[in-house]
Amino acid sequence: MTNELRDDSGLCAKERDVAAKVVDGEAVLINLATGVYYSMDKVSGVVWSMITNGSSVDQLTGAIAAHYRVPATQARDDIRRLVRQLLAENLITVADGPPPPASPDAPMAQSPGTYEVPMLNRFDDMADMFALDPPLPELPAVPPQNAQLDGLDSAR
Amino acid sequence: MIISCVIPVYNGERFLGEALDSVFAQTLPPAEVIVVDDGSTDNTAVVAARYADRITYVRQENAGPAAARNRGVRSARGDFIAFLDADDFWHPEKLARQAARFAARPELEISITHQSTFWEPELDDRRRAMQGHALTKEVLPGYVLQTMLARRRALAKVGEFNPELRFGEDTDWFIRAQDAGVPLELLPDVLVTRRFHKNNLTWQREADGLHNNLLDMIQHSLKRRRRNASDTNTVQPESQDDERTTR
Repeated sequence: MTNELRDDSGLCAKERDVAAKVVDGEAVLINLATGVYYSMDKVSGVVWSMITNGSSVDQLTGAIAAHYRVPATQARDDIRRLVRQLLAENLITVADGPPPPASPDAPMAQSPGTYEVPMLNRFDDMADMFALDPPLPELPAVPPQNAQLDGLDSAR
Repeated sequence: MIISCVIPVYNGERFLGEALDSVFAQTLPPAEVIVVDDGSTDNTAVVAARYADRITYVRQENAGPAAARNRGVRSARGDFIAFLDADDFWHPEKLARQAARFAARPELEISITHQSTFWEPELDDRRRAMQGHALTKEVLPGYVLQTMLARRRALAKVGEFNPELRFGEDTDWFIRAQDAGVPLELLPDVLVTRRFHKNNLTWQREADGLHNNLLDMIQHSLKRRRRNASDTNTVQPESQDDERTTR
């Protein structure tokens, strides 16, 4: 089912398992299946917005290199690495068809600011709280003495 | 240890009695039980009146569960606060086992437990449709207020429940507690049963609204942590190791 990643393949956010929102240039994402959440700000916030429009690595590279005035080889390396991370975290997929034509109004801030290597910041510290499939915590606590539903019958 | 139990209720006539029975069946009963009627239009007041000699009944204009909880906490006199919702119920040893944890770990501020889910038969179709969703699992970590027993000072430190949130106020509160570094322990014991029925607030949630709320909470939390990190010159907001060891 998974398409191979090529620089000209369109990308798309996984809509079923991932909720995301961009505010003030920062994308916040949560993988609803794992409870792990992510932030992508600055350059990576732009990359995320473009991915939700279906952009390919080629298109991302062109836009980022031009906007931040960095060599295309550097931008391509950084974007490939970021895209592979997003794929590995199950946040995006490789689309079946080619990407849509590049949008002329890419979601860039008006002044480019300094180029920083785009990062995916990953947080699993609240996974229990958010997780739809939560792991049991490693807790050195009292043993679960007849902890199951006994006693509840009488309460009901 | 003086425990106050706060039960917010909105149109909860159907199950409030069972919830209260599970409180009064505790092997370590709370010193007081405060039922905050959030403007119910059904017979909630009639059910509550059956327990009049054992509860404090407060009625307010409908303002949502967060506001009702805040109201209850403000009028509570205990140094420990527990919450229960009117459609859920406790295991008889719930408070006793949590109290034992506070005795064993004096630095502990918040105790939560695992929860099981109980579906009323009227929701059989829905349950089948949700196959694979976490809520159809029988046992889950209880990051919900119904499982919580907390020191009152922990509530003061974290702050009130956000009354603007009509749902998810508990998640928001637990995130803030974690950001504030308040020591929390999740017991493996399954001590609360949550009931899903046709009138649950849960079913009135729009998934989009819920996710939107969740993303807002996460973003606020990230901002808070960055602010704290720059205040204390901590290296990275994501290095939450210190907090994790307290859990």
